[in-house]
Amino acid sequence: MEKMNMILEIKNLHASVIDESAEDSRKEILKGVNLSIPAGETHVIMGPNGSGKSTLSYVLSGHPSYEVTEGSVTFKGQDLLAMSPDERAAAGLFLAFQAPVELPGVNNANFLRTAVNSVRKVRGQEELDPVKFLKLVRELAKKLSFSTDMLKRNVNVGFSGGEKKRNEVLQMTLLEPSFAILDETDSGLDIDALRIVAEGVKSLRSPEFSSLIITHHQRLLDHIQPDFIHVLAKGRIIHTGGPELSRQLEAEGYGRLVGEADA
Amino acid sequence: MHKNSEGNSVTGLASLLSQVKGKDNHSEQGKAIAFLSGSELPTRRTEIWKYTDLRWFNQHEFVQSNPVKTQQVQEWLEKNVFSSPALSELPRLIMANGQIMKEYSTLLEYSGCQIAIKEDVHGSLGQPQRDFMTALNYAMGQQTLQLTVSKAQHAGTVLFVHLGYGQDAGLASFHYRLNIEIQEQAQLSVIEINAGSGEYFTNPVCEVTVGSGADFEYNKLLNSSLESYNCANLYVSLADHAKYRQFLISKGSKFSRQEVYIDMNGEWSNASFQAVQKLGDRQHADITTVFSHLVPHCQSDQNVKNILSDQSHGVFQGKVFVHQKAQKTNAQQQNQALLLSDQAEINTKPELEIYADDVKCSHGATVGALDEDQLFFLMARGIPYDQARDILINAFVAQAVEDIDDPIAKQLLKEQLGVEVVEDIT
Repeated sequence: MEKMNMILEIKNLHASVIDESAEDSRKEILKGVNLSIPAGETHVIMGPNGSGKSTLSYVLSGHPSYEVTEGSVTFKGQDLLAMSPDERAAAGLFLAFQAPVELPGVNNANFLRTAVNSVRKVRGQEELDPVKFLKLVRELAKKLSFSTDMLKRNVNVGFSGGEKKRNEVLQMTLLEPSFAILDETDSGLDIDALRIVAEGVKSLRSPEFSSLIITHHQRLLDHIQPDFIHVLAKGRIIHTGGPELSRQLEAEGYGRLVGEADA
Repeated sequence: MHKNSEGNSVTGLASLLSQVKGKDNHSEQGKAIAFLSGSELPTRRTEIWKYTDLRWFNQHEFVQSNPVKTQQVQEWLEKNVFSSPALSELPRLIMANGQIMKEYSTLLEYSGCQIAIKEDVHGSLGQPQRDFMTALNYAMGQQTLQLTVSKAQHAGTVLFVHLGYGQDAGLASFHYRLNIEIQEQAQLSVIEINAGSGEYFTNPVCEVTVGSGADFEYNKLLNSSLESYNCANLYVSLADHAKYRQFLISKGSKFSRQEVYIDMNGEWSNASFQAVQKLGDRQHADITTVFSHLVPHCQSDQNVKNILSDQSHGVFQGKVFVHQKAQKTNAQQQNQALLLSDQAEINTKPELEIYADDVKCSHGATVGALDEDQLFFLMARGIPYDQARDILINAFVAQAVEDIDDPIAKQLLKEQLGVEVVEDIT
């Protein structure tokens, strides 16, 4: 792996979820995660429920409910953990949410344009006027079989599960990230929607783009050929393998690997 | 400074009443003075003043106001009215320190309505003692402005401006009175702006009768000086098929209390009250409403939103009364508060008093901070914190403002709330 251009380097990452209402308000979820992702590669994280997959995605994107207690994350040479969520987005990190929130009263097209222009401003690119923006967003919406009616509605309000996920992929495409985390973006999608989402992800592939895909299912991986698969259990990466690992896991489950790691 | 016989300075109610000694006891004004002379200031032990403390009232010495400087009024109008093509064209009534500024008030010559100014306080309320501030208005008022829109006349939109200017010593108070009569099938839309500078107290009373099938829209902006105290009592009577819509933005004043009484006296009348209180610093603002459904088939809705920062305090007391005869009433009430600081406070008290059995009445209240997950979602898309916060605050009030019918009022109130005028780019 030497000499490779690393986009993301996670070293000994420990993180807790903060729940002020709970008696024990800090609960450690990540217990020493090590993971390096070179530019241009697609990595997958699989693992049992409650192993910390979503926590990892939230910690990387800067959700205020999580606290990093130890370790470091370097993103394109910068200290990712020192940046606010909007700075991370502008720097090129994108999280596709497992359950995207609804924003009543916020028009989707205006939200998309505000987001795009926010990151363009930081990146020193020219902001898009409504006409240019609309042209761009309409083209992309067409590719994603995304009805332009969804641009007129409030963000995710009244969207079906599939529409919300397509809206996430649309945001990802518009924000031109260099690194995307897809947190179970395939859950709850029918076969056609899954293919559209997979196409959206594949279209971003380039030597400068990397992704980290969190999934439980083989189906998405049939569309997107990953480079590596990691198994996350009890807050640590316990095993790493090639694309064939996912089929093995589907057949065997996580039991053996988790058992070996405990031993 | 006023002194009593023991040589102590006189403050509060006594200093106010000393300004109107020797009035005829049989006039409405005289009756109000007699009532107040035997009364005490309401305290928080009085149920309807439970959340709003009038202690400041007794701490001030009330004095006669200095004459208004025309220059100040001219400058304010140039900046806020004459510079706006939409507002400058409206027939307008300009009042400063409770006095009608005739030279600026084009409404006096407007053909869409009739105006009469009486040098006395008149009203149909009959019982000035029904409310402390109303009684005070009867006692202290010097003029009544009567505005009439004749049968079937569509008067369009008119502008009312109430300016207040404080003075160095003592607290000047202004108790003006407006009576509006909209006759059957007639229409009137009022945009009212309250503004000013310094420390003063305003206490207007407005009575409105809306005739059969008539339509009254009242959009009010309370943007008074942040050192001022503002009370206002509004009494509306609706005949059959009459329609009343109010939108109130309360953002100025150190202290304010807006009381709104709606009597639905005619069947199929309809009342809608929307308000946004946007407060910061140590501002206190209170909206108290009583919507009385007195006959069958009337509809009312109330929707009050509060955006509270710093150590501000918002109050909403909303009462819906449904008379035994008022079957098929449909009344809805909603109060929402967005608390942007740990020290901001909201008191909300919905009250339903229902004596009929075939009615639909609902009320609800929500209180909360900005949603952390919504904020994070916007930031994760590259939008900086301050902008993300503004987007969510905007979303909270945007719908309410969208529902304003009068386009000039809508534009003005949107600007005043900082609601970004988002054009539909699709």
